[in-house]
Amino acid sequence: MSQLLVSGILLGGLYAMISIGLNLIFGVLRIVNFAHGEFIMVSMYLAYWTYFYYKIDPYISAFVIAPLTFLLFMTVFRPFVVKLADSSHLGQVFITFGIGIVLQNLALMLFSADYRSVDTAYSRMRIALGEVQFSLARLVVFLLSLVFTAALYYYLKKSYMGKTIRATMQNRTVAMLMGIDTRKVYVFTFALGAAITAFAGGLLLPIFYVYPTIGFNFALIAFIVVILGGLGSIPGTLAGGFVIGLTEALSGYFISASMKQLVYFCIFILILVLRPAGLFGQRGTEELGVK
Amino acid sequence: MAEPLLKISNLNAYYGEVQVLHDVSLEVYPGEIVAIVGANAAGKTTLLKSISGLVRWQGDIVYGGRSLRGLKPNQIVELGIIHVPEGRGLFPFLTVLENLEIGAYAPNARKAAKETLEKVFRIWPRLQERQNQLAGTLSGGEQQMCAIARGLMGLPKLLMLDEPSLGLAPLIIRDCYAAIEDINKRDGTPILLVEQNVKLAMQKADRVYVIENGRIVLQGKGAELMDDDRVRKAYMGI
Repeated sequence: MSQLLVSGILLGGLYAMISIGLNLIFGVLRIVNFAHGEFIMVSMYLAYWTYFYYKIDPYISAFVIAPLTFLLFMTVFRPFVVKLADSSHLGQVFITFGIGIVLQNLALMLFSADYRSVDTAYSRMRIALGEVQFSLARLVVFLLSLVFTAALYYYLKKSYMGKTIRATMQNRTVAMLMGIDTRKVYVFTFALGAAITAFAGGLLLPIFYVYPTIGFNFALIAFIVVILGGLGSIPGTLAGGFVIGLTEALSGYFISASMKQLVYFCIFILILVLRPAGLFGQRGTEELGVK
Repeated sequence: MAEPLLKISNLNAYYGEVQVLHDVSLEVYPGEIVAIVGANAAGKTTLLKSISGLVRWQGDIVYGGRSLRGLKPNQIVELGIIHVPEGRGLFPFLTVLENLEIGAYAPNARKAAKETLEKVFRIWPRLQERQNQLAGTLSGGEQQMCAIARGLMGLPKLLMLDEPSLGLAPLIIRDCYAAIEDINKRDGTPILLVEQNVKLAMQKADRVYVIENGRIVLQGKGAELMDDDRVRKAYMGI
């Protein structure tokens, strides 16, 4: 039983990690990003090939790939983000879904559909605490998800830029009247979300195989985690990750591994019926950007 | 009189293909309170939005000898033109204090933010009491206070207020206008305000422009217009 709980919590941390970037882009900015999974897939491949050719550990290359992603979105992809921010939600769905498909097929063309993985010194290392066992790589992701959650929470809550981001999301026109260059805010926040997502991708590589369509599984979970936790709530993402992770671990054992998605979707629906703004969502914020 | 601080000449403004303002000319001189009055959908708000750079316009808007043509909203704010929008436009899920801090976004305002905040709290001690409350939970009158205070945080050289009396009880309106007159008297900040309450506007403003279907149809000193038969008939129902 304690093994199940530990596995579930570690898995929850991993789910939170892949969702934090989406929470910035979708939860805070309200840009529907259906290419989120493909962002993870691309960064996993980047980490993979860096390891393959240069023998650079994915934990190290993640620290290069993430800032690089940030810079790319601040410069080369800037017009793309501006266009996306100015589009309707439906437009964003089409645009990002299209980008996702293009990225998937590019990966398929360039790298084939082979399952690839790295074999670092620690990727098969396991830690035993009494009867409970878990892999080191998962513990690393879990701890980093806590670090990212705390850092981002304080950044959004306390820093002036964080307040600027929240103000812009709550009322874009008035934000302009305050002297905020709202496009800059959108591009910056999107780039930050993409960078955190890329970082998460690097962390996943020692745990999962990478192949062109792996993103879909992650994106589905990330969307559920973000909505479950509450759009724009950073602690909510962590909580949402734990709920899904624990549900998956427990239902996999007590019911059936093939039923886990059914179970967590039922829980997802139940929580949304009871708390439409999500577990930690501020009441009323779920409608921002819709009205 | 001195040179106008703000001079709008032959302004035409558009929402997409629809022309909302026709050939509007208007001036604001240093130290004045100028009111724009008119019915709903006459184009009052659009006029303020044009000055703030939120809508597309033709003609010319000159502020402090400099044309605002092609400037983005944030550049206009940096010039000291602060627009307090209709319906307060507070950030509902930010606290009162955070709203005020964001009001001082422009670089020069941010440098002075600490002192300005003290000043604002001296004017409205109520806001200091409620500084950690979410702005969306304030009462209507407090929200209007907070919105004007947030405007002051931007160190306005020209303060534009869109319908400050909207939806407020008469007593609160009185307080609100007392505060506006105070800002104007104490700091000499010129104020351009849009008001649906014609009588109130004519009492409080030095000069008034009457706008109808996107055109200025009358202008003059507030006190004089009050005696104008057309105004009395059309707007005051007397």
